[in-house]
Amino acid sequence: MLIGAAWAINLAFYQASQLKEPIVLDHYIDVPMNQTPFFTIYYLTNKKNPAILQSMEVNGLSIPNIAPSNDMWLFENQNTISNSPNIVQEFTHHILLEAHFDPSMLSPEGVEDKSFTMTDSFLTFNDGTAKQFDIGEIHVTASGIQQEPILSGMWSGGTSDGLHTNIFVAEQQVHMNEIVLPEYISKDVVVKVEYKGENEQVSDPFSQTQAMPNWDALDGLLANEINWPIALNQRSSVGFYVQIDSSNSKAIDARVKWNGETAEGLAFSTFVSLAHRPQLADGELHKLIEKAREGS
Amino acid sequence: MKRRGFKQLLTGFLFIFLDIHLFVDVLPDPLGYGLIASGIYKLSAEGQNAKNAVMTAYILLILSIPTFIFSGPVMETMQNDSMGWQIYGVSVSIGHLILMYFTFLLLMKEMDYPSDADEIRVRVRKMMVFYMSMMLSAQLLHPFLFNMNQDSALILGILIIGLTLIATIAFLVHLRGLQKMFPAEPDLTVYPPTI
Repeated sequence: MLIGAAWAINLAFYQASQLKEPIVLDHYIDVPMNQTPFFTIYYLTNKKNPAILQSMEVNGLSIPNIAPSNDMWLFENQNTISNSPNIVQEFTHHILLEAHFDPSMLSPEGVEDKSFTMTDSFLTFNDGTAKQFDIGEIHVTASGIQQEPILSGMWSGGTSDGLHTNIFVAEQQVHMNEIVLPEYISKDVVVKVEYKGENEQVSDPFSQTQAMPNWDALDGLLANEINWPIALNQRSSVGFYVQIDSSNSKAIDARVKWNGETAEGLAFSTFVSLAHRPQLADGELHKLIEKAREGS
Repeated sequence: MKRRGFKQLLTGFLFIFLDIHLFVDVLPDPLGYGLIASGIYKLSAEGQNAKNAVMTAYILLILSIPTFIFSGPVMETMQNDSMGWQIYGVSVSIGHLILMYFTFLLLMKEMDYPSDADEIRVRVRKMMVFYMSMMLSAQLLHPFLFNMNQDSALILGILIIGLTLIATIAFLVHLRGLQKMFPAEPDLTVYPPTI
């Protein structure tokens, strides 16, 4: 009786934990078409009989998942994947997988690049799931002409807990305006700016200490506490530090524009890279599953 | 006769315990259950527990036919993928425990031992308690593997295999000890006279 009850309870719990369809995470992606080999879509699926993302539809065009050997990792007969490079995280009943899409496939040869934005997309999985999914916000911008940088990125670094550092050096005298974060990620990202003066230089936090730098120990003020615009003379530098909450389930891969003006009055932009590969805590996982169940 | 019965019983349990698969199971479980049924019949043809054990062995003989075709890992995969095969696997395991229960009762109550019968029965009883508690614990813990993370499942899996292995080996050694108590049957083969 006890053995039968143990089997019945465990099998019922196992069945109740299975997802009816994959859960696609929230994304903020803003990448230029010609400078990115691929952008990544993250999704949660069952560990057993996982649904592998095959393709996504963008502007009426279907582009394939180019993640390496995306489903050759399905064991013969076993319907489980193991050791796949596409596994981001493994949980008791679920796995977080990634799929890669090449934005250049959206621009056939001989046709001029077109920027596009989407908040949902028709996704097709190998288990037969094919429907419109809310994927967050994706912007792929048309290939632009690369200009000589006026504010050059000199060093950049990052830690696994979501800290990103960038040191920019002015190639000529410039004024930099306040950086405006995209609204979609403004609550997920905190920015600190290390500015010591128009003739001063800042050094890379990673080279200053043997230990990994942490957010609280970094010099500088929060971006909203700075007196914008800031002036930089030639060869002076500024530190631009970003902290993204490492438990955040939103995937971020964006180049955020930072506008400035040269002494001659020429407006220019430099770009700050923001990247966050989601790592789900158990609580976050349960929230996502609950939300998906409420939605369906 | 009894010694031969024990030999068949031992061989049958070894066939079930060992899984050597070369295209098909070289030591097929159905044959193992057949040998167990035959061995039990030789030990005690009339007792109620012996009859129950023989009947359970025949049911398991039929139930275990798929294990002759599919190797252990393939069966495991099938059980992981399908609820039907899962129920099949649990049914065979529980059936095997029922067979063991009747076998122990037979050894305790329906067997005539050549000497120290009471002491042997006490030893069989102790072995039954040990074996059944180990195997029932393993059976009880098994379903929890489905809902555990990989590390915990690995530890529990090793524990279950350990419990099963210890209980089975202890039982086989015990059975061999009982077999040795009975004298070897005389060789009745008639050879042609030598010239």
